[in-house]
Amino acid sequence: MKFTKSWLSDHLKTSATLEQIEKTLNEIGLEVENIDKGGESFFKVAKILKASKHPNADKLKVCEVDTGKRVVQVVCGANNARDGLFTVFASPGAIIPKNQLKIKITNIRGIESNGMLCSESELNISEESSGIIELSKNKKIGESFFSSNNEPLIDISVTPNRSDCLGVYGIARDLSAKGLGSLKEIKKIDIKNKIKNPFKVTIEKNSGCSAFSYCYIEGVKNIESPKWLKDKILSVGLRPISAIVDITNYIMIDLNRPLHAYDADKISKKHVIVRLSKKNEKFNALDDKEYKLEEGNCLITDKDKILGLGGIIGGASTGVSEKSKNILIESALFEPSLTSKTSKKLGINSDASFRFARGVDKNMMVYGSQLAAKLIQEICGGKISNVLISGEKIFNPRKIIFNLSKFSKIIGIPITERKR
Amino acid sequence: MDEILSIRKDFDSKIENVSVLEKIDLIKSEFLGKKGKLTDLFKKIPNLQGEDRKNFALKLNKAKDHINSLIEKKLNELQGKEIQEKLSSERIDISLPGRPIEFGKIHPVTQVIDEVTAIFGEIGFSVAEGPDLETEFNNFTALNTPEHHPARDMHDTFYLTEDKNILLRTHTSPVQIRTMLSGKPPYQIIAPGRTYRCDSDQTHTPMFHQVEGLHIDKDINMGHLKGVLDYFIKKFFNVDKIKMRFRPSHFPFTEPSAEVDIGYEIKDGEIIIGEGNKWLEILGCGMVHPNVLRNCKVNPSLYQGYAFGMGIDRLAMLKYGINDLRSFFESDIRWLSHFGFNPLDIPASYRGFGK
Repeated sequence: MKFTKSWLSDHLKTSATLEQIEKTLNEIGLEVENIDKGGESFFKVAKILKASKHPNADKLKVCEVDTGKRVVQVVCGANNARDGLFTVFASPGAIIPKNQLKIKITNIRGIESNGMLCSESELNISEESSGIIELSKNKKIGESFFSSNNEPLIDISVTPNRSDCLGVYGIARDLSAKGLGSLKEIKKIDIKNKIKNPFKVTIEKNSGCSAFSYCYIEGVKNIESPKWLKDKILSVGLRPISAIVDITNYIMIDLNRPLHAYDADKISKKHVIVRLSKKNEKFNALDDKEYKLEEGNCLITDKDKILGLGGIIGGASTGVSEKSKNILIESALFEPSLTSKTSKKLGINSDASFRFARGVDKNMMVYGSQLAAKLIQEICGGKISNVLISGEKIFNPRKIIFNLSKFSKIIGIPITERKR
Repeated sequence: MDEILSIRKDFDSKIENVSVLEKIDLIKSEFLGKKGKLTDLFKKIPNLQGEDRKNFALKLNKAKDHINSLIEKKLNELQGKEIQEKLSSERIDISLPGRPIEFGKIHPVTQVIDEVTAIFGEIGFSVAEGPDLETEFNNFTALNTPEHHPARDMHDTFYLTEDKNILLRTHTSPVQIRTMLSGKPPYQIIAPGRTYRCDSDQTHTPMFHQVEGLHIDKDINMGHLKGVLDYFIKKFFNVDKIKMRFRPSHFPFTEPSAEVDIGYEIKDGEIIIGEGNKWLEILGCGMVHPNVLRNCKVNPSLYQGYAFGMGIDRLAMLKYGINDLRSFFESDIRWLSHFGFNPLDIPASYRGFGK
């Protein structure tokens, strides 16, 4: 689970430093695997002053590169390395995102090379690998190439019993319980001028889905996400796709609430049926693969076709695109063990299946779809319907009995009860 | 005539009785020497005439041949005898140069297993073992990890049968189950051994080693766990002080669970264990989950205790400064002779465990 400090502060009011946060996370069982403190500062805008042929190799060039602070000699194999080119320089110590190779000062065929000039593919920006990056001449030499996106990225490993911390909100809640700050209250969402929800969802018995909430939004324009949302998505290492997809991803990471958006016009008869699969049914998923199903997987279907594998992956036929006008937001509860079984059997490990297999907060189901609807309306326009729920609607809080004498006996530290 | 015959008889009886090599020469000179008995007869030849001379010479020569051949035969016989005697009396040839002696070396993993066993052995643990091939029940289900539990995903398991009932054990924890099912509490064991996961890179090999610890009795609590681990780490790394932290974690078979980190720092390219402000994870542990005890027919309201598991290869790398886990299993004789241990250096507490 990856998040940034600024995302955490959406939910946690705290003056703690990054080091304090790291220490506290470790203390409460959320092991910090890594904090990427903007390793990207190893990547700088640089200018090739002079590119000449390598004396001992036909395809290599020896470049004098201005990195802002000093001029260094770099051996480069790119065809487009030439005098005066503005490009990206990785200094020794940098780790190339694509292959995790660490840059060192090396000797290439008898010439010392003090770093590397990078292609877009090496930095995981695009698939472009035919030459090094060509930047415009108005870039400032020596400036960090990834300037907009260098907030430290905190990566914690969440054990299977802590699915509550597969969302930033849950992590903030746990940190506040430890006393690192106060949890900001989640604001109730009030949607005005609701339209009537024209959809109907039927959950068949024992289909691996205990509740299915859904909200219909009419007349949206699925545009590119605004900068704040793109930055959020980018800050945790995901790729922005379109506003609606980015919003569902944002809510999943923020609240540990996986959602799915359907192109509502592609669902026949406005009727969704949740049922178990039959042997040899076929399904085309969003990952452009066809899956042949066994018996007993949880399916989201309509009268004619399969819309998705519940809690795992959506279907290609009803996915949202930039042309989608009317959409249906699904926020449901899928059974952990069935989700785990199906995703393993089919070899699909999605962010959603990972969360459903570990269990999600039931009380976030309706709120998640409301928040998605509100954000979609803000960014893409449209009219929002009321949220309808099929299946379980009321979730009573569970009591956990904590036996103090048992605790003392197991841990070995006597603790006395104090009423407050 | 008779003279020759009697000389022959005389010779025959004398040579028959010779048993020492040197005596042959004496006999030879007695008969064939310058003043030898037969030589004297040869001197008589010029005095004889005609047929007599011819016959006499012929007989003399025959006698001479006879003597020579018998001497030759005896010589061979005695020389052969002498060589045989020498060979049997001087079986060890002290004149040959000595052969070089080659020592085998003890593999660092074996060495660490011996060290761990010696340390825990002294504080009351006995060694238990289990097979590398395990049942799915012992490896997962009995350890409170039912089918489709996400914790199973943390182990990339080598299943050996289609129905996934038989597998290569992914940890040494099934030995806990075997130990508890085969006897009555209390239990106090360690179980070193091979474990397998489908994973391979610089820090993971498909086969690796773990040591399991289990202590169950009526009043074994987490304090005992902490004390035992503190004692072990100090002994093992041969240090007086150790910086150690218990970090809350989760394993299905223990509650509460912790991962243990030890402090370290790198000074002049060498790793120093026990101080510094960096942390290194070395083991997982916790209080055995009541469900595990129940699965092993042990009453959790009467018995409780702890379990831990650590990576032996990791311990060996840390203690002996080995950087690449894979080198353990490459069977490179140069590597083994560098990192290996003298077979006579059996780890024992009174020697200390430092090297």
